[in-house]
Amino acid sequence: MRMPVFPRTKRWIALLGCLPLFSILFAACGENSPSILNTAGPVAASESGLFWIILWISVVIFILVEGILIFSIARYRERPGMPNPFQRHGNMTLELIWTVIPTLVLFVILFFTIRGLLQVAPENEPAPTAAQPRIEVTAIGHQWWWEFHYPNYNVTTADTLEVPVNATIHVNLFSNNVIHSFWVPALTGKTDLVPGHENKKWFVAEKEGTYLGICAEYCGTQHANMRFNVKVVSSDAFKSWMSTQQQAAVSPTDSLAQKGQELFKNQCASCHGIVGVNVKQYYDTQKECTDAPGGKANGTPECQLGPNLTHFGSRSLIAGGVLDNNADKCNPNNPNLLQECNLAKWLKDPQGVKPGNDMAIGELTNDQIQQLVAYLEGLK
Amino acid sequence: MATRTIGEHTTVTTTGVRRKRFSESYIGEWITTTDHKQLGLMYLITGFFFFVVGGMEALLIRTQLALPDGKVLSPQVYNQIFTMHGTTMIFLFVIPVLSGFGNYVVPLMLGARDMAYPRMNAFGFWLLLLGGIFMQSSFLIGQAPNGGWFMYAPLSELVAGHAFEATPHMNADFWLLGTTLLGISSITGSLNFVVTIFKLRAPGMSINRMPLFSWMILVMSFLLLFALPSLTVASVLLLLDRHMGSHFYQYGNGGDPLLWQHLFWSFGHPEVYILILPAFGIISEILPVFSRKPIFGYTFIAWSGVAIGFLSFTVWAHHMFAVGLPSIAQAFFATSTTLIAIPTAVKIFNWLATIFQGKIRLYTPMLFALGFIAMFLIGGLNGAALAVVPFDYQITDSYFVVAHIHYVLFGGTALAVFAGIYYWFPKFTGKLMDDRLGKWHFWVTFLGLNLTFFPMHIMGILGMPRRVYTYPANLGWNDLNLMASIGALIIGVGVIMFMINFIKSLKYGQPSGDDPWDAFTLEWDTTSPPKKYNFLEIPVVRSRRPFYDKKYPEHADWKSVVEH
Amino acid sequence: MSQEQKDHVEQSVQAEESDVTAAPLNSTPSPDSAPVEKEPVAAEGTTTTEGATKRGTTGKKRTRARGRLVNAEEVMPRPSIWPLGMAFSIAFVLFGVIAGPIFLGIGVVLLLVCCLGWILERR
Repeated sequence: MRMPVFPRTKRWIALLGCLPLFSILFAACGENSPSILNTAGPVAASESGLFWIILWISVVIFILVEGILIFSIARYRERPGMPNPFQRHGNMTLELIWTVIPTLVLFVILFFTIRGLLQVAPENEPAPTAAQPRIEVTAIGHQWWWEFHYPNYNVTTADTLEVPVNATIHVNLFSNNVIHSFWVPALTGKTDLVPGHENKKWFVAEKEGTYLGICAEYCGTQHANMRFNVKVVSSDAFKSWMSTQQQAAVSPTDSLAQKGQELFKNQCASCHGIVGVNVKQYYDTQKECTDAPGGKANGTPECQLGPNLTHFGSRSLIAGGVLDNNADKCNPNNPNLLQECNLAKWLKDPQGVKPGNDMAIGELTNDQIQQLVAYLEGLK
Repeated sequence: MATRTIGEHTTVTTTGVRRKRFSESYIGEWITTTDHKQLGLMYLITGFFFFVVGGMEALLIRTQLALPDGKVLSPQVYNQIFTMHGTTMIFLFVIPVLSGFGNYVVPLMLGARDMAYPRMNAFGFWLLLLGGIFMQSSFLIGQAPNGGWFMYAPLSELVAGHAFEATPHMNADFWLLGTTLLGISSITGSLNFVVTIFKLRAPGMSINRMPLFSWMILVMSFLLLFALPSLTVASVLLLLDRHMGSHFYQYGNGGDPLLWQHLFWSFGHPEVYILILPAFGIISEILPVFSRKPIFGYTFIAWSGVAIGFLSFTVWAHHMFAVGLPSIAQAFFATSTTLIAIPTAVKIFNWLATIFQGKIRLYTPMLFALGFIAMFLIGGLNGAALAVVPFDYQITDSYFVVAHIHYVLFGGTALAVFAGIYYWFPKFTGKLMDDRLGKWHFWVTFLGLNLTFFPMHIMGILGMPRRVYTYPANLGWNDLNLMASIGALIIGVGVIMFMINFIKSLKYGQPSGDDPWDAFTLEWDTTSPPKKYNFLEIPVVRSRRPFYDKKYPEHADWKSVVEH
Repeated sequence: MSQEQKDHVEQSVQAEESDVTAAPLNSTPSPDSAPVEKEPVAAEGTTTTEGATKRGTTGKKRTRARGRLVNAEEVMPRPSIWPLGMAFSIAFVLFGVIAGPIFLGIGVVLLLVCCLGWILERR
């Protein structure tokens, strides 16, 4: 028996209707997105430049194949009285043609792939010159925040990686817990931080500005909130920033901040370090906190669980980027401190802001929060 | 024969009246069956059940991500849900459904009376069902697997490096034991397919005359046989790490987290082709029938499947371009990944040539098959983009990859599965599915899937990482996510339409007769639904389209075509 | 290849048929007394199984002589509960790996029972 042939309907109208929907997609590309196409350095430019090559090749293939598909459906759709088609079983010439042509296209892509691969490979890191110095940084992945250590300056910071413009940034990637992945879409693609592996990468930032960095490897409960900022500044600004960071924390002068410091010593010092308050200097987590022989245990001064807060007030993010450090709203005299100041929100309820994180500060009174905010935001 | 004689006595009760056996009661018949058709249906139903489960998990994910800073799910629950969505869809939906088709259709296509090992077949099914229930039951105690379907160590260890807690509860154990069970199930199923295909073909059906679906099931079975041990080994090592104090994946004691990734992906990549090759087979069956032409380039389609099978074992590290492999290794895996695209392209061109100059009947199965080609092409193109290593550094682990796998697995495999169900439903039941509703189902699904998965490309390019339970509002990802969530709902509507159609057709479907599509292969050369023994007389095969030869003897293939 | 296939089919059918002839000697119920859903293949219309049309083995002749037909159910695999039991016990063993030695022990015992049952079951 045969099925009845359904009458043809104007389905293409529905398809056309979908087109505006897709144009919305392209209009929706946000201004603030960490887009891989808004590059600010040669590594990302090389990586994303390939995108356009593949996109155009793909578009051509897409139109060709879908074109043949739609043409065949429209042209060879069964009509009443249509004779049975010729029973063609194959054609060796055609087969060879459509084996060889895709092969050639793919090998063109492969050429770009391998060329690009070598361009951005760690071995191809540019040698340092006077115009383009080399800054070494260790990126340390924690659950779930980023620590950055500058071994040549012995400085440690968190959440914000500050680098000079037009310098080769050599990044050592270290994790002692789970696998994370270092990704700054505007500057460089991903490389994982694999425990036990000394991965490294490099990038150059050619434009000053702040670029979002993201942990791209699933690393547990708060994988979603493990971001950092890469702040690219002029080389003079970097030098002055670095000399500030190298100093111990300033001692607070006003009484509120002094109380905050006492509170810090009692409540926070077991997990956080402030140089000059409860630790003598910055420590290199990569050296101190390994599972290799000689590594220190968690909770020792060399290997504290939380980020070092010595110059907390100068950072732009709190707690792995879950909140901005909006210092302007954090004047301790602000009556709406708890509503407006992100640091106060964080101190009030760290588990509510970032469920599952390791911050265990206990209940604080509003006064205590005010004191801590005054102290920490003063640590420029 | 001795056992038979002894056994016969046991069926005689003391009263001399034959007791009704347990296997003849309604429930007993289902749970003791060794009939490949009944088991095939049970595979299909189980697979579809888990498809609904996995689909609900997907809807929860999309609800959480519809708006920025979503509060529908806690991060802990979200991580369990996305892990179980992936695991369910891959291990509990796609593999069972494809094995279900294989079980039902392959012996019929080959002209066999049953699978080679009927009881092992049943055993495989029950392991699958128990493994699936076992895994999903972890939700009941709130400890569903939460390490992603790839379950990377050391996140899946009890303790990650340096005394950091990773997965202290049973979450990962459920996954590891569940996949081990499913692994045993798949191994038995594959062995059965291999032996059936090699030993039980009808007289005259050489390997080279087998229908392409059987070919692809054969390749899939070999892939499973060679790929699964790697997963099982990885799982056992991780279980030892978790419970016996070994350190295979912990760097502090001389282990290596990358060992897991290498073991897992050397299973995981062949697995991807395990999920798609039988879908290729289904498409290669449906296109010729509804174009009234033989498949174009049979040999090329079959051998490109085999080529994909071999190459799939050489590409695993393209999932690991970001882990810091040496450049030379990355170049190697980029090359092998490029090579595997060639046989895939060959298949697509052959399918196009099959429908070209045909007489195309756009019934629902054909619609889904054509939709498969259109969507799988996108999955192939963005897959080729992922093989471009430097670009991959930017988009791996971003939503671009999510777009890719869903174009391949939903736009590809799931559409092929629906095509297969619409195509073989008359075979299973003797009734036709409602074509009108089926077409609605197709267009709704087609719209939904593009609305869901196309924006994900752009999200990935805009820097949205995958596996995040939430995202901030100021990064320009909001509209795209909302769009994807709406699309997911539309897909859900499509699935509901399918279920209505299925149940309605089961009850009130138009009788189909034995051969509603005027098909070419042996499974239609018997009653629909077939009797237990499939064929009264085992047919003798003289070409690749035996049933076509029988129906149109004057145009029979064996008269005109030389097959090698 | 095709020749091998043919042989295989024939052999298996032959084995089944000699069974049928042996059955009455052991006073088992004849297929005629079996429930109705047992369908003798020949009753379906055409002829008998493929073996019957092509060969004239002694076993076949004897069944014919007695008016006995090759029964579909005898050619087909029989239902069995052991696959389910076996699957369940393996699941139990794996569960026992994490749940504790008691469950593991029960699982191993179950597994052995199912192995024996599977092996000793009449085919």
